[in-house]
Amino acid sequence: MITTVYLVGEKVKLVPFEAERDSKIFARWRNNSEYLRLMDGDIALLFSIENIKKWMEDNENSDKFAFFIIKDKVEDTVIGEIGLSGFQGKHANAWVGISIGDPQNWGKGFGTDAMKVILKYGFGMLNLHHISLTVFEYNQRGVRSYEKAGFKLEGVQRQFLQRDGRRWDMYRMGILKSEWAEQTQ
Amino acid sequence: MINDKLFESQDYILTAIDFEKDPEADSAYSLNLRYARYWNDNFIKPLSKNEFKKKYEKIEKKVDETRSVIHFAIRTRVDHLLIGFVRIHIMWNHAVGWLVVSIGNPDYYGKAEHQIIPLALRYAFNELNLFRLEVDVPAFEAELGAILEGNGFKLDAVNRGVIYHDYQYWNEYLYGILRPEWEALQEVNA
Repeated sequence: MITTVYLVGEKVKLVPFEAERDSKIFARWRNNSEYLRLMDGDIALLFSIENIKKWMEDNENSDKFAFFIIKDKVEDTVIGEIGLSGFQGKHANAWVGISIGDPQNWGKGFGTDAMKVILKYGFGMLNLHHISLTVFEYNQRGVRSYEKAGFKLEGVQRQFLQRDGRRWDMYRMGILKSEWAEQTQ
Repeated sequence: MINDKLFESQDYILTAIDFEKDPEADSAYSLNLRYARYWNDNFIKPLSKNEFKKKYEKIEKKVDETRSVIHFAIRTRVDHLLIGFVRIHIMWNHAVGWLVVSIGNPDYYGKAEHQIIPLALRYAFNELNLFRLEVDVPAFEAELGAILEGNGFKLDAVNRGVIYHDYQYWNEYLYGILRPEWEALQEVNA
């Protein structure tokens, strides 16, 4: 059973910003210079409600950070803010796509080698857990290359493509970080 | 006789987004991060009312301008309560659709899908004229997988450990159904 209630503590709960409501509260808090000087190293400045509201609205739906309003769990009142930013290496999975342009360079191992390099980057630097790809049924050269690089077949998207008057399968392949670590040791 | 009941099942209806009422309900539902997952492309977080409005605007614009996605709100038939949404992303050149059904209201989760999946299938094959429809299901939503299988979907792929949720990595199941498979089931049921 997975946890369904996140973002709730013993005394507080975290909820999204509501620009209309919270801009007024933020403007009020900022009138206290001590609050500003405790919060960050920026110079103590005062902003209009409109300015704060605009900042909040401009940052809605941003994937650069996850900011929350802290509410008193019992009273349901806004008591503060908290957030995460500067995200790095946050993904479990990424999709890899590759192509070698000139046909005279096909079948020479360039693709397999490039794939090994990108796997090293994805697992070694980006902390990915798994890397996925799709390849078409009629690209057996690709399938062999990906197998050489360590990918395993994870399934078949049956009759996914319509080309030249017929349907073709698309294969799903993937490699786990643990499998990559094992084969590169 | 043409079917004139594309948007209704016994207990639910598919409707347009209600920009006045839906943001409040969706924002509250999104505090459940299982539901919020389906509204965030990147990391998972609940969304404010205003953020939902912006998401709705973006989706409606895409539906209107490209027809590469369709989106309906799911409501109860009795009192028109918003409980979730159904969305289909479409790759027209291959006649393939990628279906997302997510129920935000906990009272209907694992229940409404029994009626919504058949409705989505009928829309996908009879209205969009797709050849293949597929659904990605995180392993922690096994109920949905069972409902899909009950409606003729087959497990086409298991993408190992591609989702991180609630302290652990989960597999993602890819379910697919082809037009002839769905049509054969309609004949059996007729």
